[in-house]
Amino acid sequence: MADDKDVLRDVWFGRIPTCFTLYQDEITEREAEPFYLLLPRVSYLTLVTDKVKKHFHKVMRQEDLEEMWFEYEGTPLKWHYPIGVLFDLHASNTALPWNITVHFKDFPERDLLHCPSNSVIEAHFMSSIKEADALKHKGQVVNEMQKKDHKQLWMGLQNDKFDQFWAMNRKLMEYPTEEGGFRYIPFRIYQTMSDRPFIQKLFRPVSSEGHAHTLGDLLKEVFPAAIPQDDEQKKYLIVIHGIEPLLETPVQWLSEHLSHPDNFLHISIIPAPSD
Amino acid sequence: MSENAESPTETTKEDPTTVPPPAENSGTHEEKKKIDILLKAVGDTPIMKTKKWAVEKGRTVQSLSLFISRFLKLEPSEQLFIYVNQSFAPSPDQEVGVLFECFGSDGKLVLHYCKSQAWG
Amino acid sequence: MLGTRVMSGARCRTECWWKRHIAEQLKQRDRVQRQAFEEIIHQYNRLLEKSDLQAVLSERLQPDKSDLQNRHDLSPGADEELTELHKKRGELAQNVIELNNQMQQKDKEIQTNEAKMLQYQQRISELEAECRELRNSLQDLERANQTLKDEYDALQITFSALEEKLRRTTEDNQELVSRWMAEKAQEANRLNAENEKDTRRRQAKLQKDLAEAAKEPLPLDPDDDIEVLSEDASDGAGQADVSPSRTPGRTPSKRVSQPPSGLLDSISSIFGRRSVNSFSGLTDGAETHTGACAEVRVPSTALHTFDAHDGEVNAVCFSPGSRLLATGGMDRRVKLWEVVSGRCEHKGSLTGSNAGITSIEFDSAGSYLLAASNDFASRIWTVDDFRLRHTLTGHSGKVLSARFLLDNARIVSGSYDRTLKLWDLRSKVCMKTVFAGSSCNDIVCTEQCVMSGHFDKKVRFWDIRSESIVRELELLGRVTSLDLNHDRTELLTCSRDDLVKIIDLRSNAVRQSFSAQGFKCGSDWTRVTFSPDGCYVAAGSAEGTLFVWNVLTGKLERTLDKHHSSAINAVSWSPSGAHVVSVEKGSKAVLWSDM
Repeated sequence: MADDKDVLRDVWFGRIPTCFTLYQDEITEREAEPFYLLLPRVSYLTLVTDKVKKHFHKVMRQEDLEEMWFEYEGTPLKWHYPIGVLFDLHASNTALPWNITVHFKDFPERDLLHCPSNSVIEAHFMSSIKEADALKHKGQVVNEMQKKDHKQLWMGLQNDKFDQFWAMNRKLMEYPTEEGGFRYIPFRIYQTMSDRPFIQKLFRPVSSEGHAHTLGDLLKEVFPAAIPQDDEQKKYLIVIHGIEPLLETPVQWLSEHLSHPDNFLHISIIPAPSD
Repeated sequence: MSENAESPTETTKEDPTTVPPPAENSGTHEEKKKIDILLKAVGDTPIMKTKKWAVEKGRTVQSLSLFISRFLKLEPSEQLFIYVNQSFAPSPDQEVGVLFECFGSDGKLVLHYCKSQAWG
Repeated sequence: MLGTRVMSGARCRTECWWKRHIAEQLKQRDRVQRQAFEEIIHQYNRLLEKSDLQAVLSERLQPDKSDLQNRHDLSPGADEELTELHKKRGELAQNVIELNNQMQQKDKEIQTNEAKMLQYQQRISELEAECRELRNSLQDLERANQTLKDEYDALQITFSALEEKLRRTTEDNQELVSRWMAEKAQEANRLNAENEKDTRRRQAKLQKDLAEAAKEPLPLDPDDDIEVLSEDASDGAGQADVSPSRTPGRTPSKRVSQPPSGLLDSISSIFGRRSVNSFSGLTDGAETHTGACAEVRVPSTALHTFDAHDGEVNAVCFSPGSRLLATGGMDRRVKLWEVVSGRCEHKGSLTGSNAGITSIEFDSAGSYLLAASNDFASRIWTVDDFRLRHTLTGHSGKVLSARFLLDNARIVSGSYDRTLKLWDLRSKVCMKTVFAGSSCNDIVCTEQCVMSGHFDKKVRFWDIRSESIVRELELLGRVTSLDLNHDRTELLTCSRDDLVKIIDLRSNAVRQSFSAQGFKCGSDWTRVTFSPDGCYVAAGSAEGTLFVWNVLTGKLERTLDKHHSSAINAVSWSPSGAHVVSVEKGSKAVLWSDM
């Protein structure tokens, strides 16, 4: 359906207007102007912020340059989470643009992983795809692909090539007709205040009687507090790619159309605004 | 896991240094349940004498990796790669409890470890 | 494009709903997050590049000066530029935020409007579907209506055609009947003429013989006369015929005193003889009449009111010995009751009829019971064991009356099929069938004559042997009932003109007419009766009142009401004179007496 392709495109080309400001304690030779950028939701911070690095390198001394890392309102931003997830989780209720603070010192070893090169990002990305496929197809589809197919997926993401990426990715979205869906849905649920990084569990897209499970069914199973009771006010917003899908949306369709390029469905649960 | 002596340094989530000792009967904290992990060596990586371990759910892959490195007495420069389902390498900050729930079989999580990249 | 999922049409709308929601939400998100900022960021970065370029250029232009100096020189200009740019940036950012907010509001409005439109569209399609359905049902109804109209028209045509046919057929039928009657009359006349000729011839011969015999005087023995007379008497109806072949043999010369003349004369003489003999007592069977009148008492009270049948009770008859009472009803049964100490005890039921019983009669011995039925047959049972002995079929219509002839060996029945049939009980066949021309409602018999009352208001008198009508009497209403007094000199008739008449059979004239206010004949088969001594007449009315008239005075003797709740169908007076039983349409029977 034309609608589905549009959804895929909108998801892929989603952008977040971001304002990068250098941390005030960083030592600069000149005043550093903020740098504005439209960040792709589906990509990773370290992959798309070369320009930011270059911009701020211009005003800093060479010897002070260490690995760049980002923080929002005191929270270090994990580069290995998709950008859209970070935004939805931490800043979706605030005014745009997203104000990220750039650091070059005091890398927080406990909170962030290092990202020395793009190959680390690639390894992480491919690993996520394999993990997702292990859940969807017991890993059979991704294992049948050749090395060049894997490369095509990565290149598609890196160079923002929708068609190139989806030419390969559509294989990972297939399933045997009689099953009605994947074996399990690869998903992760993030919360700001939680002792766990995310919730990931086994969840079937189709019930044993053949009914399609919905987003509501998924949340009832793994995060029942997110669904408001009849008379309660909504306590949480359930955000995927910056929008709130209806609870009756089937998870199988969500997994096929609203997953990130890493084939995971990343769901952010944020407190509902109280006004 | 009897690793209270060799406490990993990176994880902030739990305080392993203060975790009282041994055995599989962890019990004081409700959340601290343990899962069974079976470690298998790949390639020419040394094989661990004890393969089965009971690990707290909240431990990360990285802390497990460090533990194995120390157990195998690897050089600091040598890398250790951990794989699930013989297909993907989980993120270092991934919790083993989540991996067990999603990819465990017969009540245990099978992890392959290797000094070099085995499955890309 | 993914998988081969097939969506059922019914779920499509819900699926499209959440899918559309997601598509709309994504579009809105992009409007807010991307489109609002794209241009600005792009321009900003261009400016940044330009300013960087300028900085680089200005640095190159002054390579010798120290960095600080450069910065100093440039700084005022550059500073100014910077501050201006900062200001501009601030303003732009402010603008952006304002524009953003406006845009968000507009987006919300758009969303609500779109939702409303969707609702309206849905409503429209629902209404359209309803409208279509209604139109369809209207069409169907119109079609059905038209079909019914056509059918009705066709039926009308058929009906009028059939009416016409019926009219023509009735006319033809009437014509045929009258022609047939005429021919029958002609035949009768012919026969009469022939008979007359015959008898004249015989008479002549007889006269010759007598003249010859007269020449020889023979001693007359009065005893012989009497003997001959008694022989005649005991032979009963059999001797009533005057067929030419038999008369000469049987009639001795002593019978000169009664020369057989024409048919009509013979019959009146028979009647005359009869009246003499009836008082000398008949020697029939076990149960005999104990003289002319038993203790006839006019009833005054109802001794016993009881439900005799399930449904209408049509006929009632006492046995010759007054012990038993028989009732017949529309429930196809004849029930026998014993009158014991003022009550009727049910003795038994005679079954076998397939339709309602119309008339009942005991034979003169009281051993057999004859009942006529609406199933076109008459039946005979033995009274003692309630067993059905004979079934006489042959009529093509309801048998309304059946009577034993006085010899108990033959039966005459009258039917709705306008015939009377004579049956022989030994051979159980119909011996004779006469065509009366009108439905026969009741019959009474004497030895030689059968009298029948008909729908066409006539009472016909038939000679049994010759099967022909010897007399007809016309009344003023349909004849519903006939009864004879015990010596058979008077005929009691009841007709639909609500008159009960006594006809003197010797003179064939109406001797008395009884009527009463409130007496209405209830049906075409309302039965009335003489009292056993012939001094009273009892009849039941349509309102359930029993009327008793005194024959001698001609006045109403008694009115008995309040016991029947519907029209009285028949009345019977016990031969002992002590009881009267009346039966009604409503299944009740009432036993009356004067105690």
